[in-house]
Amino acid sequence: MSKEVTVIDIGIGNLASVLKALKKAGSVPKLTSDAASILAASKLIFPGVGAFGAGAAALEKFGLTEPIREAVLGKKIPILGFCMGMQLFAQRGYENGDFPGLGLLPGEVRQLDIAKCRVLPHMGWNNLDSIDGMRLFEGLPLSPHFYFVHSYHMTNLDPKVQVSYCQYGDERVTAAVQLENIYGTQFHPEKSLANGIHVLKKFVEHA
Amino acid sequence: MLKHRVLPLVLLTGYNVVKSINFSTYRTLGNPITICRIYESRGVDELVLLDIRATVERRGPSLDIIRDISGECFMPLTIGGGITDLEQVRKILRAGADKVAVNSAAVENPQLVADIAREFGSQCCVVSIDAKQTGAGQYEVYTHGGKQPTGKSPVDWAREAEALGAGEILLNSIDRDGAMQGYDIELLKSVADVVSIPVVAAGGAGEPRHFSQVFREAHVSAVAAASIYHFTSFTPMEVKQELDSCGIAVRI
Repeated sequence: MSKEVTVIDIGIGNLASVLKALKKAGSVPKLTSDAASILAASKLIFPGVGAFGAGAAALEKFGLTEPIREAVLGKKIPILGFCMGMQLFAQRGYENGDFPGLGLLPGEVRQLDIAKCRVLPHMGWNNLDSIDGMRLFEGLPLSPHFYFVHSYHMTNLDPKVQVSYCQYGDERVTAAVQLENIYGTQFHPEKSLANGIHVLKKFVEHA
Repeated sequence: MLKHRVLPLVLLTGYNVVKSINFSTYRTLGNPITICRIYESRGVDELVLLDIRATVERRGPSLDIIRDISGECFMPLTIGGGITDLEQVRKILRAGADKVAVNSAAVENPQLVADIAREFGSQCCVVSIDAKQTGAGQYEVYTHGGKQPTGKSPVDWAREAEALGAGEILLNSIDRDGAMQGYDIELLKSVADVVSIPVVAAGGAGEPRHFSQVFREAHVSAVAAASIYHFTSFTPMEVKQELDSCGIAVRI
């Protein structure tokens, strides 16, 4: 089985860390901003840090919205998004405005409730409430820790999407999502030590 | 539940790891790559590297060191020291850092904080504040390695930094630096109570109980320390075990 993974590069985010972690997880990562390479990929990774609106604008600029939709929804190529990459899977995002996402998952991206969280961003190590049925977390201890840094999360998700949550103050934060060939983590696997590498490895080997 | 973070602080002058007392009398402690490799093998929560001579020497932190360290660092990495413009930030993030800490240049030009937040996101913009006590309950922000008074109070500057888009405050007590007698609770609490972004305590940790005290009394999100890890046998894990035994949630 090919261990090559295609990393979608829309010019934002810390790709150096992502590439290093993917190598550590035993894969051969290949960067691309090109529609044809995305459609020909065996696996896709969509990293990202920053604001939803900037991500949506970059997708538009690179002309990648339709190719990614075709690759994931049409050709059923497995995709794993982290942080803002995962958030862009949603239909809409409301960070500093109202922007369309890729529409891979029926849901939207909204700010965490500061009254419930008290401090934002949600920054640091948090543990997942449950990892039942989440394929990329198989083999990890119950309630594993991962590194988060964000102020927005995916919400109003369709019940058919499988979700792992974590608790932050009185807010229930969407930490990971899974629907058929679509996987997303709000946390940063590339910054989550051995647990993060485990998740990447699962995606590379089994997704 | 979000855990309280325990961060080793690695202070550099160029290519050497050093430790200061009251922001002077440096001791050289070795090679940053070796020291960071040890922290990586111990799986610490995050790593913060500050080049404390960069501003006065009018240069940025070394990109080579960042590349070497981030090559084997699968945890968040914050880099600070002498950062004055966006192009530098871009290079530092490309070299493998996740956050940048700005200090002197941000006080001189607060727009830098807004620019970093807009361009790279608040999550990667740490505002590092060095404060000195000037009277009972009175503190002043100093820049340029603790040498230059600014006339600003840490509370006002932290509020302003938050409004400009900072994602985190690293608050260091110049008086407590290297003294290992405990954190400046009053200073830290005064800032942590008025901002809604994470505050990282720095300056003064000498034994594990200092960490539990600052979490309980100053409401900070994280604790940074250097001397305790260099000059005592305590490790970040032992600090966390102490915190855990006091009922303060940490990742063990």
